[in-house]
Amino acid sequence: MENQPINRLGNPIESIGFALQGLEMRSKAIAGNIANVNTPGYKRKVVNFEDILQDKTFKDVEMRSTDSSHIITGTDSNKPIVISEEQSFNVDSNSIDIDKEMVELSKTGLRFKALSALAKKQFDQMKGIIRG
Amino acid sequence: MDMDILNTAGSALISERLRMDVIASNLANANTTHDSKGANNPYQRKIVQFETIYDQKTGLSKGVNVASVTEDGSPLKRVYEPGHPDADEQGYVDYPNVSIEREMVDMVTAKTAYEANIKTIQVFKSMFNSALEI
Repeated sequence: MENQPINRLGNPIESIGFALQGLEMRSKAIAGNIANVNTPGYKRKVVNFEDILQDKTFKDVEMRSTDSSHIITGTDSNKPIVISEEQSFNVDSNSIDIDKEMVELSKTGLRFKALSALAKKQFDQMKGIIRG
Repeated sequence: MDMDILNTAGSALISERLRMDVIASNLANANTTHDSKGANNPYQRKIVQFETIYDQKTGLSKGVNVASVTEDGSPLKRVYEPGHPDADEQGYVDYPNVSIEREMVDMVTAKTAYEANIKTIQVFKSMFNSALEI
């Protein structure tokens, strides 16, 4: 999946796959955040993949940078981005808000479930077409 | 999809449980004035320190580890009890530097964190099951 461009709206399975991958990575980040809720100095980790997905899905022409001197258009990577939130309001400079993490955890779990149900539907549809 | 999340949440469960053990020890010894050898050596409050485990590849945290269990160096509580066998010449007894209120607060924090990690495991299980159904 790494270097192959995701097909435009023609093949939703590819997009769903990428989104599932992103959601899995996000759940890893949230699990790490929740585990470190009492670790002094820990900074919250956030995973973003929606921007990349949007770029890949709706851009007409994709320009690849194969050399360091090439101009990079949009996000060049096919991997979700990890951001560390340095801002903290706690005494121990830990930037985790447990309520926020729990909401994010539920959200990620539900979205993952919805997307995998969608993937299943896509495959069922394909099966139906093949069988005729 | 791998099982990393279970290890992450699991490491936190282990660490929080250890913290709970230490809190229990602090509370149990809130009035202990002698050590295990019988000498007049009041119990010192123990503190658990956590450290995060980083995954260099992804930049995410892989969990939490207990870095150390150290002794709280704050002064002991001096209580005027002239009749006490451990009292000094002025009639003061040194009691452990354990504050029940602080331990209670720590206990609630540890409990909440433990429950939050249990929730992580539950959500991961449901995600994994739905991935198996694709």
